[in-house]
Amino acid sequence: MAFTETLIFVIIGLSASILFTKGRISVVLAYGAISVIAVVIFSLYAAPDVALAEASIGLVFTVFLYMVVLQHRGKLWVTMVKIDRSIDELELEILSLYCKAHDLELKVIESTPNEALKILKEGKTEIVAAALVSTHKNDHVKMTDGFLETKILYFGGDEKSSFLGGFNSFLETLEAFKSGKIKHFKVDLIRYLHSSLEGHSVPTPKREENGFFYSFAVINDEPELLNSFNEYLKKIKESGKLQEMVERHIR
Amino acid sequence: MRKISIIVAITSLVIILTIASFTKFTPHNVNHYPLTTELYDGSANIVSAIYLDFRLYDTLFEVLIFSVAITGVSFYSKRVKESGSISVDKSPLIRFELILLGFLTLTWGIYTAITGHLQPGGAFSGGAISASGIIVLTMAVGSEKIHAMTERLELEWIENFVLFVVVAYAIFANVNGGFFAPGFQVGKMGQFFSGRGALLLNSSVGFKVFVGGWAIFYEFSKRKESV
Repeated sequence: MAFTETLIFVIIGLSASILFTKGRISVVLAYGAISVIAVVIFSLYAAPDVALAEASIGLVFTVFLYMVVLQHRGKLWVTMVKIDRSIDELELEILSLYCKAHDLELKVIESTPNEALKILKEGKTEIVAAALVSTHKNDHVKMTDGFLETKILYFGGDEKSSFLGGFNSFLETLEAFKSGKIKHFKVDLIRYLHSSLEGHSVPTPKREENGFFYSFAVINDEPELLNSFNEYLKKIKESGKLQEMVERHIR
Repeated sequence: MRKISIIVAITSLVIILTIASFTKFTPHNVNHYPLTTELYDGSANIVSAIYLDFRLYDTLFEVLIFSVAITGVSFYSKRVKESGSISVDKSPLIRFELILLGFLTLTWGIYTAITGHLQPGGAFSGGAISASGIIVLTMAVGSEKIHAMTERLELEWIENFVLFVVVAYAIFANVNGGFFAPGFQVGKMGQFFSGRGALLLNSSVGFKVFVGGWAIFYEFSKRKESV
């Protein structure tokens, strides 16, 4: 068989390999390789015009285009608010596994509870990992499904007390509560346990309520990210991977 | 199941091509193009003479399809949210090199397009090379400047305007006694001003492909989920 006919089978093999390739960059490179072989075939058939068109469009323009475009999109920007080592590591592991599954690069910006919302409003990040409780309400974010069950602890008694599972700093509120500025508040279990372990004197809760979940906050105008994240959480819940991670990180 | 069907399809394609490659087809080209080209068109590149003169309507509809593709891309990507910018390399040396390479690529594309009737090349290759130059420049100076420039130029309007040049040429080129009548500016083969409308068509269609490629790149790089 002639050389040029053999090259056609190389093209077929490369195009078939694209169907089974995972990474985006590899697919673009395989596409470029197809174009190289097509250019060789056109040249061997004495068609320099077609070869030049194929080289300029298929090899240079398309590959450049995809390389530049993919370079800036494969990133997931996350605001990380450190609450406690256990839940921080769990959140980071879930996020990095999500990024691995979706071929994204994880970019973490560490922040304080007060600044987290500001960073989100500026559009710098897309996801907040701050041990937020899934019932948390905010105009700028939507909550994902929960990944870890928790309790809400009530202090001071009133049902309509301000809730601290969100972007506010727990310790500041605790000081205000002790000095009598605010009468009542509620907080989630991990924040409470963390500050008691750190050596702060914390009051005993009056009442506790079960059935709440920790979850991530996704910026409002990214419904596709929210959907894919929820699907991912469902998948790891079903496969038992999430349970294994929780056992490893949470005391 | 899906993988099996793909494998079956590929295997059957390979078998058909293997059989076909052993079959001998007799070429039936009636070697008349070189003489016709020299007499009626004047392009040194026969391919250019064919697609810009003898088969101009093919090119016309190719250009039309290209327009529709770009309109589709920009129409669809209006729905997708805009995203951040393309980061620039930190090293000033690399940025300088990229700027040089970008302008070089742009110029090379222009040269390839306007000498399409003398040597291999032509409008489509030249336009694509020039558009690659814009991509290289974006890597050098960052997407914000290039995007601002793109929005100021209103590329889609320019790009669709070229279509009318090609249509007008296609209509008036073959009117007997008209400006582009048969025999007009056939020239001497190999000279720059030869090949009837090749220069006009190559530059205008090349410009259209350049602007179209630029517009596609603009839409792709501006939006987040468009790829």
